[in-house]
Amino acid sequence: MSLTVLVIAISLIAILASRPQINNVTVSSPLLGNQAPNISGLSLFSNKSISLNSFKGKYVVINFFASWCSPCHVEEPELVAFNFEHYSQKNVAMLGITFDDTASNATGFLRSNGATWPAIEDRSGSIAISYGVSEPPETFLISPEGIVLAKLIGPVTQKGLDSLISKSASKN
Amino acid sequence: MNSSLDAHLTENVNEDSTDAPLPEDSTKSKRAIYIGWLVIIFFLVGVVGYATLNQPAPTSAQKAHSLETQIKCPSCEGLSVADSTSPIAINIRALVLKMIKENKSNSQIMLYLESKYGPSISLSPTGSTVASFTWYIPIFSVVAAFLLIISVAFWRSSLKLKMRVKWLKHRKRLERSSRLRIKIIGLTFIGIGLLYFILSFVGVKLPFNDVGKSTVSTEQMISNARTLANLGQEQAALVIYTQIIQDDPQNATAYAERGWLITQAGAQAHDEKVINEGVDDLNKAILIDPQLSEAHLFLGTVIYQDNHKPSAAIKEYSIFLKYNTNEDLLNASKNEILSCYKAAGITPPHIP
Repeated sequence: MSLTVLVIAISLIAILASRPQINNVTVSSPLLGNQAPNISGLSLFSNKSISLNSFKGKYVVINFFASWCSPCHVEEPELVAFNFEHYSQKNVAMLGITFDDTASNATGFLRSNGATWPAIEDRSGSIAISYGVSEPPETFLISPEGIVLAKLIGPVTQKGLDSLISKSASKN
Repeated sequence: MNSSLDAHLTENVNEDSTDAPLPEDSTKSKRAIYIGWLVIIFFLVGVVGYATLNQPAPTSAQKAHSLETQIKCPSCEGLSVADSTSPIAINIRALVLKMIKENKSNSQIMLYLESKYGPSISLSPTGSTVASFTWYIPIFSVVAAFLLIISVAFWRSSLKLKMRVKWLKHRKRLERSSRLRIKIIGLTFIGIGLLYFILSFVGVKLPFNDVGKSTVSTEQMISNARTLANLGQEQAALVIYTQIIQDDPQNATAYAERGWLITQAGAQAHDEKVINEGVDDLNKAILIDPQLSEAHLFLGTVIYQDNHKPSAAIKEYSIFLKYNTNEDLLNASKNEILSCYKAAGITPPHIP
């Protein structure tokens, strides 16, 4: 009996140990190290014009999301915490881009999660294609000079984004 | 050049003057083989030329579809964007069509996508010059085989020339010039065929090259446009419908569905001019195909909702009910039609 329990316990440990890391998965992209494609559009909240260029001098976290995407629901509290952490420092800006979603659903999703950063509706998917996005959530970290530093697929964490920014800052 | 060849031939005559002449039957048999080879070559060149000349020039929709089959769907496993219904595949399809409409070449489109998604986005080696060369090796091989057959035939004929020069010297010159003409004509045919193929491939519009439009591709485009419209991407859908109409000005469905989208946009913007543009499309659709039920449904709805003329709308609705075979469309519009009849003060027909 005790041997059976031991075998099961070892198997569970092995299964859990072999599970892939789902958070902060950085992947390669032809965009890395290059100037980030410009983004411009109307803010979902204020209906004012937004451009990626207007964030120059700050790190920018671009997050492609959709209200229907489950991993987006998982990462949203982390993004909200990350935004709150950097809000007073004003060294990081965040920009949401909808992925195959309606403006009303996307706005509702952001509001219900307490997200206050600007977001743009990408109706034709042209912004997603210009960033090589396959499916949400995908997140890009852009340097203060406008260079693409990292591409992350799947849900991200506050800690993971902080770590990427620290790494980049220490290099400069 | 000719005088040295003549000298060589004369020398051969002197050297071979003691050789016994070939039997007449053998010469005739070789000539028959030679003629047979020429017939085969001309037949093959003719077949290739005919097939090349009759190849229809691809329409923008066909070009787009062809390219879409070479682009990997980024969010799928082993599917091209042409075969996938994922949101990003639909968006890439719309982008490909837009870029083709802007006269971007296939390689420009592939390079753009590769610069965003990496080389794995390509299912075929169109992005790399070396890989492209490998891709076309079979075609080059066929052409090379033709040239080889011709070369062998002429080499053999030159051997025969040497053997027969003893007693056919003056006739040889004539035959040689005739063979040269055949060679020039044959190579010209092959050259024209190759040039035509290359020009067709790079997208140059050529004569005899606009027949046999594919209806499958148009259906696929309509399906894409409907999907985009359902996703709320009306602008992208309108681009596709407009493309279909440009390729096939008699496509009533494209006119009807584009007209519907335009009237909806006009109604949202309260712009009567835009609504009228949409109505023009709906009328064109009905003119092309008077039994296209959806065009009558759309027109009836515009007349009822935007022009507030229920009596006039009933005329269109009754034609829709007469010809419609789409149950989903009927269920979706049933309440609207009943409400229209009620507003006109007319007893509605039984709608199943």
